[in-house]
Amino acid sequence: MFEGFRQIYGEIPYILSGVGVTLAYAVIAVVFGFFGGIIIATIKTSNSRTLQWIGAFYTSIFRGTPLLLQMFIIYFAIPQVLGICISAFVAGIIAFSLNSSAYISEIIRAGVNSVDHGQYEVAKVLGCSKLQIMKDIIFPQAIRNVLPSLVNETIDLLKESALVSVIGEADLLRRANIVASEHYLYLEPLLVAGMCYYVLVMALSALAKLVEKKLSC
Amino acid sequence: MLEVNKLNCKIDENTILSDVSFKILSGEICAIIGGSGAGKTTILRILCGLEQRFTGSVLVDNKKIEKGTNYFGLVPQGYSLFNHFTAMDNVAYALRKVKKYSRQQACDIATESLTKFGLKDKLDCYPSKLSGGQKQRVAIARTIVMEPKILLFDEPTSALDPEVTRDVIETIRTLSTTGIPILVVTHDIPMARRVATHVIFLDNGIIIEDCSGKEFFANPRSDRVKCFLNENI
Repeated sequence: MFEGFRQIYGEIPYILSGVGVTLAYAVIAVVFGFFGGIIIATIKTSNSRTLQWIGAFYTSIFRGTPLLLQMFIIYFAIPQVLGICISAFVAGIIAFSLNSSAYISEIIRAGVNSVDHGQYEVAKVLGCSKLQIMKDIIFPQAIRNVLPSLVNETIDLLKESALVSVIGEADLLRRANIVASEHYLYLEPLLVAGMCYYVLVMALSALAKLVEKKLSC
Repeated sequence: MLEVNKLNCKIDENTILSDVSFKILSGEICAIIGGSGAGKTTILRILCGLEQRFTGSVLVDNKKIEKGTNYFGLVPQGYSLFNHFTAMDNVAYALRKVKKYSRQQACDIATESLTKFGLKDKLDCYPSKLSGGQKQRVAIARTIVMEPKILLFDEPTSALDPEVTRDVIETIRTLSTTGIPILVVTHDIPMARRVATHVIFLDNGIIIEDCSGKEFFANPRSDRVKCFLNENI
């Protein structure tokens, strides 16, 4: 194995540079997914039956089909139908963001429901607007309550970002595969990539614990 | 003064309130008493705008209340403090957002109010670090600073020990000396006996008795009230 690592030693920086791509996917998709999730959760918890139905339909589509299929539709099918060109990076980001919005909306909806409804009513009686109540009272507590689930979703996104290698993005896994093919050595490059994913996930978990501790009151 | 006229409420074909009418004068502490499901909390919810499915009218100082007016201050059962805010922020929040006071002004008023309630050393405590009685007082301070015309208490002594119950009774009495009418919904009969100057007994959404506190406890007229008092004292 040491001989294998010695052979790919010069390629390790090339594999490691894929960390940036992987992280970019995870971070951008989580940010868009988070705000998208808040919007969809708001739609789902609104009083309008039509809006509730739209929210539920959106979630069912993105939860009911594979992420890879969604990415293929965005990268291959939509450009063909509309006659436009979408880069692999943009297609990947759109697919991941739309998909994570669906999952995060469910997490946030559960979080909103976990906050004592009495607080909503008291704030309403005090004269606060619905926007103020949701922004200042309900969402901060809801997000604190579901922080572990949000971290899980981020970790899932980070790992699932490996799927973008299928549409040609040079992320961590694809770079490891390229190195493996060049040297006809599979274990060592894949171990390097695996190690990177593991370190990223552990760092994310540690960060989440820190935030959770800070938010607890 | 609070005047409620012919309040009727029907939810999902169930009649919750039937022709409920009563008056509460300034400085009165009115207890609405009744068993579970009598419609006590529904009256509070209608008064503070949380329940819209009703007919009838509510007048405060002879003016009909309209949507969006905050005449009522509610101290809910279970306090419903904002758990992610400190005691001071719980009190200051609505002052800033609704009354548009600056942060400093709101904090000054909140500090003054909490100090009056003996919570000067708890200003920066989160609700999870407060006892039941302290949470109750924060909830009262949060309501009072908004200067409501009528104060509503929903089961203020449920789940409180006798000592804290005594504190709450004292607080309600003190508040009534300011002239503000107070409506207390409760099934804690000993508490109602000690605090109420006016009692309304509600059964299945109908007012059975509406009289002074002394009269209610000394000479209950209806058999239903006699039976209820015997079971609950």
